[in-house]
Amino acid sequence: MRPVLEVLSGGMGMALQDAGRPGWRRFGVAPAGVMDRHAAGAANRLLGNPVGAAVLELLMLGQRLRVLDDTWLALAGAARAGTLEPWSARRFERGEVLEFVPEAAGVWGYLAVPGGISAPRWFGSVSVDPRNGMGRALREGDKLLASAGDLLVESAPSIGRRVLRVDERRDYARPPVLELLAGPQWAGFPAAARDALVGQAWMVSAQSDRSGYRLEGAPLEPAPAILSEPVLPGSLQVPGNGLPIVTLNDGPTVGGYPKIAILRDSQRDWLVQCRPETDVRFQWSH
Amino acid sequence: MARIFARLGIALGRLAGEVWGFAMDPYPLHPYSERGWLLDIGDPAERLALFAALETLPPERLAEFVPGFGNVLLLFVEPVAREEVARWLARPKAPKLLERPGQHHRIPVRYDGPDLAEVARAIGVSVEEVIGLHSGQPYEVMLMGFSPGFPYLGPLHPRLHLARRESPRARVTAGAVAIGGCHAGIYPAVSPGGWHLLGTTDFVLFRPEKAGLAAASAREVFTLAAGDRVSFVPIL
Repeated sequence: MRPVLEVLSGGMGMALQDAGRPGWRRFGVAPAGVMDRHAAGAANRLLGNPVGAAVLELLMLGQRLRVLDDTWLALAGAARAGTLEPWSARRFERGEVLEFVPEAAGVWGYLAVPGGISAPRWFGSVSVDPRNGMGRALREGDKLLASAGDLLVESAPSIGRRVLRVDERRDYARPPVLELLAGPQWAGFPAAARDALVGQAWMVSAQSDRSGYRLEGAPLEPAPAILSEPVLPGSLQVPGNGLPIVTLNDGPTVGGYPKIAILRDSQRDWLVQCRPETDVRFQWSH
Repeated sequence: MARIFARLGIALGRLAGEVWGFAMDPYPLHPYSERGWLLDIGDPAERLALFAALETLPPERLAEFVPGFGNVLLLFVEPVAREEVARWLARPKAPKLLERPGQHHRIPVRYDGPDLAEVARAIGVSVEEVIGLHSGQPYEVMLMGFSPGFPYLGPLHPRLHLARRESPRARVTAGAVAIGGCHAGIYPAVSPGGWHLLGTTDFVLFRPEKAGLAAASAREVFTLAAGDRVSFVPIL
């Protein structure tokens, strides 16, 4: 393990994340983990890491990091730092500073280090949950440790950059119409509500975070209340005001709002990259 | 009422026949995500038996199970056909497993909660009677949620059923013993909360420091599990 980065500024937000801690929901433990598995996996693959290795999850912009040791770094998702473009990796020299600036679209960016970031784990995940006694948030002066030494590029020592294949990159300015599966209470909603869910453009609310994204639009006719039951990430819960909340990684493990739908697993990575105040559309999956 | 009789009928039918060995699928299964099935199951004894079976002889490729109040989510590592789940449910279970009871915990409580007097006033009884109603009967851990290790306990005495506080507290202390709606609960850690606080306990529900150890079992990290019984013991 070697220190490779030092936090100079947290910007809008940053946290260590990995594949999360599924398996503990029945004790009330949220799954946590990276919001966009596709982008985090891409950053890791650029360095030959396991796709679920721990990465630095960056919210929007403003973060500053100092490189403490010559090392490869990979970036993917909605983040850019000077000459380090998203969906690419390059070699950095000790002393360089990364300053993250916003991309045109998207919310979350992922920075990977060789071997993944090494940090304490709770239930197998580096994701912290200070309120519940699991670690503390990153702050200025913290050093991030790489699990592996630097990459060896033996065949061509002059190679200083890697890029991801174009078809594996994503343009978050153009999300697809997201596919929905019927939720457990789908049949309890009036047909008009089921139609209205896919018949309008929803706006992602500014009141959205790692627990859930709220959607704004013409309210849906609600369904009868239910007893609290398990809630999976990607579920569209409809509270009394008729405006859906998409439950996400840090959200509650059980809930009492009827769930009209759940995003297809692959679609969640697109949804989380939809910025507040931008539109998202849904379609029923067949 | 009809629902109670239907449940009773199912329970008696099971006693008479082989357990879960019905030709028909006795449990409604509802798909939830590509790899989950929600199983309707509300009877406490049946739930306990199911939890025991899921812990000791789970269906193949089960990732985890999550109890709800009237159902249980069976989440698999990949999509699994309804028939496969139904076949596992229909498999006769070993009697020893069916009889395995959950653990019984006696939890000491100091009835010093800030809402004790208000609750007594709201339901028109003395503080002593509130304590008697709260500690007078054992509870089942119906599920855990809200925060790691937070148990939803039931049944709560009907006289103690109260709507949650109109304005939730921003900070409830760890170990707060509380009631909300038709459930009793205990806050494992400091958190916001809208339940009525009756008392406090030193009984530890969640040991996050143990969660860092790869070898730690669920019981080392969490004292309670769904299906356990809990009794509150008043202390001075």
